[in-house]
Amino acid sequence: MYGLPVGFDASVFVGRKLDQLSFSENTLHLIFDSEISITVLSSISFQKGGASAEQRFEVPIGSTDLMMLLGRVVQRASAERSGRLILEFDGAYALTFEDDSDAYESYHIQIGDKRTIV
Amino acid sequence: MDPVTGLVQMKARWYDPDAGIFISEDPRSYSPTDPFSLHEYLYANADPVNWTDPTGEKGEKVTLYVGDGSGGRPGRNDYQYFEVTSETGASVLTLQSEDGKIKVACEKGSCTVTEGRDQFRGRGDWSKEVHRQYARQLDSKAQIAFLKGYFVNAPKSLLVGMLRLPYDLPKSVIDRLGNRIDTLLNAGTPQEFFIASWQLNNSGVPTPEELEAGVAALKTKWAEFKAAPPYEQAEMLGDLLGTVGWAIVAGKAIESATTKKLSAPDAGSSSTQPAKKPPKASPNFKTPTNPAQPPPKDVPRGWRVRQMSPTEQYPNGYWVLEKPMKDGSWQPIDPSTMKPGTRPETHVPLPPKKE
Repeated sequence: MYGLPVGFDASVFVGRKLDQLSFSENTLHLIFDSEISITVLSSISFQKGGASAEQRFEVPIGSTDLMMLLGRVVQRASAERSGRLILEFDGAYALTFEDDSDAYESYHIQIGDKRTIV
Repeated sequence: MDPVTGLVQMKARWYDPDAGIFISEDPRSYSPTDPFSLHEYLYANADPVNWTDPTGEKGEKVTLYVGDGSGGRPGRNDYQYFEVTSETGASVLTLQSEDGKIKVACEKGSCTVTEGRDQFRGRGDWSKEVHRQYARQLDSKAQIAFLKGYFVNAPKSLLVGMLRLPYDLPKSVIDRLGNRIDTLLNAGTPQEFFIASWQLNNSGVPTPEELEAGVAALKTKWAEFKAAPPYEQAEMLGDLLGTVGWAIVAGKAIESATTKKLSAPDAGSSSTQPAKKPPKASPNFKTPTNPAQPPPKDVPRGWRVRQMSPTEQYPNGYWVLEKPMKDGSWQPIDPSTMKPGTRPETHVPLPPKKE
């Protein structure tokens, strides 16, 4: 709904390891090391290593291959004002978060004490 | 010299060349044998010909108090602080942020850093008594704000803004600084100030209505300042300078993209690679399952209510009740069931404000 703030520095994700995935009724929580996490309230797209097609998961997520990402480290990250955040992991895996609604919050980024609502 | 305020940074303090005084207290301790130490705003003991005070302080040690800029304001209680104690002569301190952590370095000598978190509860904590009590506890009352993860080395404007101005600041200084703010606010830039400061606590961009309201609030604040008694003016000026200072530094931190953002919301991409595809179409808005209502005053222990600004779908704003999860995340709760809910169930519209 809000997009990402202008100047949002996506590089903060680079070098971070995905430590934990947490599923709840209406959210998906991705916890990286160094007090960084993303809470997804809408959907994410997942690209497996080497695959050209993306898988898209809506929250609540019934089944997923996202566990493949656990322990992987973000190699590149990019952010767009539109709210799109792309995290590329080692092994050519990628996650894309989108601000896909003008009516609802799509995802939250928590970096230390700072929370960005997208 | 800071172009906004006209003040000169003298390391630990800010000097007002027009008034010939510092606007912040000398960090040195009071000395009964040094009558000038009782006057906290003098430059070089009021005798600049025979004395110099190149570092702006003469204390045995310097303790720097660093806030995150949110302290003291109602509803924003976190006040992270760093006390930096240096040995004699190690008066030049450098602040740097790295991975969201503040690092402090002395130009010479050594210094120790104490990092902690204080809890200030509302504006009352910045009352005269507490303010002065704190000033006595610390060897310096210089408070330098930083934006977590945003800036390296605080720009001067921000420093000036976040200096907690003393209550007995001379009226001439208040007037002069105030006049500069007045000029700024009437120079066609308050929109940028508001947007930049707004983005420190919000995502996205303010709506035109929010922008208009925010700028009007800034101007109202200034009008109130001019009508306030001198005692209150000092504190209000601190807030005003803080607002402007925050805005300026935020504007720099986000590469001054505010204007571009207003005219073309999606043009300010910070992407490091080209977009793969445009965002997909938004889903239809569903009527909130909860009627418009004010946020609850009492929530279960540990839970919180997050209130959001107006949006197109929520013209009065909305609030979300959130429950802390063991993994550190916050689960949106449907207040009618007190259980986790979908977004239409957890985004509760705020009622119209009463006139």
